[in-house]
Amino acid sequence: MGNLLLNIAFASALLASICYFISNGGKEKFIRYGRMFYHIAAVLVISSAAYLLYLIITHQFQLTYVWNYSSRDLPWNLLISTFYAGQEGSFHLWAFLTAVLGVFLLSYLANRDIEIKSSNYKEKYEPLVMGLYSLILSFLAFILVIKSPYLMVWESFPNDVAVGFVPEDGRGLNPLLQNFWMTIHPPVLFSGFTALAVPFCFAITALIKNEYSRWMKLGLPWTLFGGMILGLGIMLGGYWAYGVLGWGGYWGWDPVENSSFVPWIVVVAAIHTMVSEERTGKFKKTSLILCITAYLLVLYSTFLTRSGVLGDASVHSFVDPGQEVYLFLIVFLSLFGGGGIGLVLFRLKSLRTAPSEQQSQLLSRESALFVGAITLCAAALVIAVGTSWPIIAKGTVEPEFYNRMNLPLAILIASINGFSMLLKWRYSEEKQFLKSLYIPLGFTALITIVLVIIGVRDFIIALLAAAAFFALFINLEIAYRIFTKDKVKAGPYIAHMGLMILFLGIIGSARYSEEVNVSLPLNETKHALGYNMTYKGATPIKGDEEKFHFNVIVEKEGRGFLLQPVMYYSEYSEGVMKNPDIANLVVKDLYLSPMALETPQDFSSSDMLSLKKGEEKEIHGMKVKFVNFDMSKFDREAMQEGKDNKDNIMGAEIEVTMDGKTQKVIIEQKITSAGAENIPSKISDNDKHTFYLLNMSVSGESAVEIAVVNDSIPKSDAPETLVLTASIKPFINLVWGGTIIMVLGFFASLLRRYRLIKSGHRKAERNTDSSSGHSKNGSRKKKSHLQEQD
Amino acid sequence: MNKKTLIGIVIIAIFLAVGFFAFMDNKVEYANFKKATETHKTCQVKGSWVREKESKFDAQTNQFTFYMKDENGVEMKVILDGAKPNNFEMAENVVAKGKIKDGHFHAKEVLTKCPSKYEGTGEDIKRN
Repeated sequence: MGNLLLNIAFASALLASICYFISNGGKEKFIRYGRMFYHIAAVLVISSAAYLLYLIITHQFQLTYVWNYSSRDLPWNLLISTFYAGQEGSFHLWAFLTAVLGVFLLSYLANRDIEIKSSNYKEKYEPLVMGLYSLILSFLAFILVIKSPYLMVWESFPNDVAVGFVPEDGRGLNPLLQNFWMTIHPPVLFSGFTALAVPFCFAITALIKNEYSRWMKLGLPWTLFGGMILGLGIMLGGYWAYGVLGWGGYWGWDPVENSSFVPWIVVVAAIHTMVSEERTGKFKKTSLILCITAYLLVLYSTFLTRSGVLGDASVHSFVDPGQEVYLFLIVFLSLFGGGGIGLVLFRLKSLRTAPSEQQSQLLSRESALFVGAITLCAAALVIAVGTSWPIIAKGTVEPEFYNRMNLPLAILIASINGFSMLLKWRYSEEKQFLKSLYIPLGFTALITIVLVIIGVRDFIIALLAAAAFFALFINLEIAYRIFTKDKVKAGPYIAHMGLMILFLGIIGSARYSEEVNVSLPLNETKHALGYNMTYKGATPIKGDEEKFHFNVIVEKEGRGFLLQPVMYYSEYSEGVMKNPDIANLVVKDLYLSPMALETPQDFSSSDMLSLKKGEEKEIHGMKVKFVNFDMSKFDREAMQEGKDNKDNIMGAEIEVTMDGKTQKVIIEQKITSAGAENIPSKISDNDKHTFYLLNMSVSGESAVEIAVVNDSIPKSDAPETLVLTASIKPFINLVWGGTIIMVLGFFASLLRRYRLIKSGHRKAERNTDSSSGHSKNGSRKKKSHLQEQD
Repeated sequence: MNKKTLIGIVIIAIFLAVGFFAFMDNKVEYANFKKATETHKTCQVKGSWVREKESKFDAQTNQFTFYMKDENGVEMKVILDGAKPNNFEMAENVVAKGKIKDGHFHAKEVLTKCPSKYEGTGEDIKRN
């Protein structure tokens, strides 16, 4: 049934696209068909998502996808998130979000197009935008058709299980993904990816129509939405990495992080050139190219992270999706990329001759914004090249490359941002501009001096801090002035403040973090990073008894608190999983990342030896050879009858050569109901060496593991020791706070843009009967209306 | 050519030059142990963990030591700065990034690759 839903969804989306394209030729009734088919496709994609979710929640393990990623023991929120734990499901999430967003886009466009009379049919945006958007949806549905989440286990493993087989339980969710952030980060990130499709469709439509005034106004709110939600999604991922995975940082320049960061930078650049275009009519070409590029980069990112090409370069794991999906992703990317670039080239002439006003002055806000956008693109280019390097040549790039390149670019971005706010649109008086710089520069100089005094000695870091404070001060001043009048209008300034705060947070937490390794023997206080730390033992976590809290009491100046990093053995991963614990101390975080627990062992590793049959090795100055097993005392019957209460003895014969003398020793192990017990053996009573049999493998190649202990060396009776990496992350709260402020700023701008469009729309509705050439007047009126408002 | 274009070109040229040098400094090539021994530069070696040989974490130095076999079957001791990576035991392949030092491979980072484990196999399903 799921496959059927997806197949019809694919077909309807394709039909919707075709109908919309036909309707653009003037056949107006096809718009209705287009809408109908789009809605059918959306409902089907949503139904398929609901159906898959139902199958997951009801544990239908006969589905390979459900079996692969979920299990009965998962709590409900993680159970739901297994929906997108694998390739198929995450594509489905993407298709689902695309379908839902498209419903809003459709009604938005239909409402905006009402103001256009049917005689001006060619100016309508719905046909082409929705035609392209439906095409995107059909592509995503097609990926699901070829890589279906609805495969049955017997279809996936025809040689292993019979038709109708239902596994008892699923394999479960990777423990790395089992936390709150898994339920929120992927949907938000994919919403961002989805949203960037809208400006793409608008830009392509404008190019096809060869008309460049409406697309920008209609598309800007969507571009802002995309920027906001993608930015949020990226930082949620950062918090996940920092707070739970224990990678120590929120950002590691990993290909997966980079590939979602690059489209974000480009969309932010696009927002700035679009705003300039709105005010001055300039940078049409740039805005179009950036909007197209942003979505192409989303597709490219999908290709990079899903095709397995980066398999050796990332901490994220990549599954090869199979040849069909790989090829289709390339087709998807090259079709949209080729189409987009081709259209820009095709329209180059008319874009150039478009009535751009006089050359922009160097001292104008639009010039500053343009330079800022170019700087952003430079950062995007640096990261994109670095990330793509594994497919260009056989190699990767160190994270240091990104730091080194982006640091000066960040300084530029912060300073340009500050300067641009003091510049007027079109033209600024030089004297006036310089005058307005006095106070902010004075303030910046003061703060920088303070920073240098308290210990910022790294020139380039001080420069970045200065630039960030400069921009922060200017934006704060403007935001405060505007905020008292009209809250939502302060959006851009709030967003800029957020970014600058984020920059300051990055400086503090990345450049000035301190890290040490600490070994904490049980109940023994150790001093590290200015804190007294005492390991008080491990306790099982309530409700999840297989995981353990490692309780560390941290104390400074009489104030103490408990930190509980987590370690546990995961059967899924066949290894120890570790989660850090963090004390948020307002101006800094104390970050404890567990490394290992060292338990006192019966034998130290230097005393242990493994020997194959007939093999001879040296230990403690003697040669030891494993001759054969000695089963003379072994009671086979007792073993077979399962008489657990009866002790049994297994042995091995070894030859020990010491001081040129070879002697035979039998070493034995006693098997009791309580487990194995090692029986000490000696060559002679007055020899200081004791031999133990630890392990023997009878099946396959015969081998034993033995221990030779020199009794004259006293055994250390060290208690269990917790090994941690402790670090201080100064001002990391600024990273999170800055992100939140930035997102709020985006949100305020979005709200304002949306209101503007609504009010413009109402105005247009009132004027419906004015004149036939009304729409052009209307848009001009709206433009002047916008300018009045600022 | 006007002044603006000129300034633009100069800035772009500087940027590209700086980028090029930064890039050459931080490039890490894929290699095997033989090549790594020859170059002495930081490189990335793919291989598999030799489970039979000892692997241990030293709390004093915070280093994890294990043996790794590269794709040509060359075995080498690897010392990683840090604890045993997540998913190390289930990894089909490991990728170590670092350089040869005093006869062993000193890794700054070890990535674990376990694609097949994320998707069940026929063997897994039979166990059910």
